[in-house]
Amino acid sequence: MVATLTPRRIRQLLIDAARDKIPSLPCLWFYVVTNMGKNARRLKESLAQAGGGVAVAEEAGNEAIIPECVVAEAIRRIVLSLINGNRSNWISLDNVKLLVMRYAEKHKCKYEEADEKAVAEHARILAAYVREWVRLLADGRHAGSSEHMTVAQDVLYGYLSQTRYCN
Amino acid sequence: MTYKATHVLLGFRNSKFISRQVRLNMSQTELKEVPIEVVLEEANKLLRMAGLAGESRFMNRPAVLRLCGPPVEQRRISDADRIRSIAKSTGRYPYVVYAFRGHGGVVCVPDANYYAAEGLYDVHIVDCPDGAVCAELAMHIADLFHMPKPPKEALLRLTDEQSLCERRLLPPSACAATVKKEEKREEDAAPAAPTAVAPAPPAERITASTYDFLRILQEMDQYDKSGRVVPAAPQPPPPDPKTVLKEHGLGWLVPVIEDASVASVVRLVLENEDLRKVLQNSDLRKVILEVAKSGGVVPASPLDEALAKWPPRHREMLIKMLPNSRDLNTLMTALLQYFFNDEQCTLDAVQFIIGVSRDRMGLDCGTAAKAVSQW
Repeated sequence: MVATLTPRRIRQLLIDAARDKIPSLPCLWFYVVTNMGKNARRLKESLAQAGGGVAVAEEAGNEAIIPECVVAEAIRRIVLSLINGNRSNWISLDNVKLLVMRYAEKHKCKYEEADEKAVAEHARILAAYVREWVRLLADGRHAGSSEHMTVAQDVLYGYLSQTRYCN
Repeated sequence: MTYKATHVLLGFRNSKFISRQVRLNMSQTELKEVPIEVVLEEANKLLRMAGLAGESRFMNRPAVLRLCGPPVEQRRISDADRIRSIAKSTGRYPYVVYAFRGHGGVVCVPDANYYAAEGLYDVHIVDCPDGAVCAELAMHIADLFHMPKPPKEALLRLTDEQSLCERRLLPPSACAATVKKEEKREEDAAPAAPTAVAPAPPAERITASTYDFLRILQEMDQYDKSGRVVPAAPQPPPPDPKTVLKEHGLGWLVPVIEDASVASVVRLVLENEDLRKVLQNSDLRKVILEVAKSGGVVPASPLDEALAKWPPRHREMLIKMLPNSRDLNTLMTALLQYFFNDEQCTLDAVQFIIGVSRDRMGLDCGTAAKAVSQW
């Protein structure tokens, strides 16, 4: 199964999924989070070995198997699926790991302890995107507080549903 | 009626074999010994269940000591009341030893420490392809006879500590110590890594998420950019063997192929040079051999390997047949009959025959017999 997928093909599939050009399962975005970073490099190497060694590795070049925009898209979709756009209460986005794991539980994605650890490691990277949203949206009065990493659900929903990272 | 084994012993002390006594609790008061044959049969059953029947040999004490190596244990059984000679009790069985032969040495049950008696030993030698299985069996058999269980030092001759721990053959405390030691070793090794030649990174296990990630991607790979499922490219149908034969000018063989067995195919090979040429093409050979399924065909391997793997009993049969064969064809017919009746007609065997027939020029039975005898 693995041998038929090349790193470049995976990259293209993920970008297409992020652009909604092809349908994707919800767990894909959780797996993007668990397999990003070091794990992605390792996956790329193992795919290169399985799919023909040097040729595939050269074909993949220096491109990341999981592009940055896909990671941003993943956390956007994860947060978007956890919030309710009809409610205006503030929610805390302080614990990104918790958000990702709640998403995995919600969609019954398979994961192991190692994946949970990977999410904890990658949460720092993801938190950068979340902080950016909070800084942009929280006004300290109605829409949330950037000091406490909180933001109103409806405001956040409105912003995230209009944002696209891979376009 | 309920049976309860109260004690079983097997071992040596003061030049006497400690007899094995199983007392069965019958209606709580009446005790009865289980014959040694029954326990031995149970032990052999254990071996058979593990697919390790082994072989039984009678050996004298020095030979057993040579086989089992130096004793691991130092203690002696001191339960004098239970001593009884097995030879005396059964009249047939001498001292019983189970020897498990692994990659790192032999583990004997009971340990060589207990072979104090001169006499004949009934040694069950078991070759262990999987040391961990044998270690487990050794423990079970020791338990069955109520003999001292092989210690860790002995079991390590069969397999590594980790396998023993996984099979719970070592006490948990010993395993916990091993795990800690390994962790510490890894930690100690970690800082040295940047200065030394970079060691290969440990093989990472594919986690459930990675596997599922790839599975989802694989599913997504079936969609084109418009979101439609791309129909899988139709697989070319497997080539029709009849067509293949016709293409190669061997259409006259089609009726034979239709009800072919490997025997008929190979017989034809031997008789027909054109077909031999076809069979030299590995792809075509596969097609034809797939048709002839009755021989239990195995994946192809080079002819040299087939010769190297030629079982001794087949060689013996060949040597017997050679003097009785008038010519090579008679020999081949006899060989084929032998193989097909024996259900041993693997592709290796077929290739061997083809290889021999290819060299039929200048090969007579005398030369072949000499060649076979030199194998």
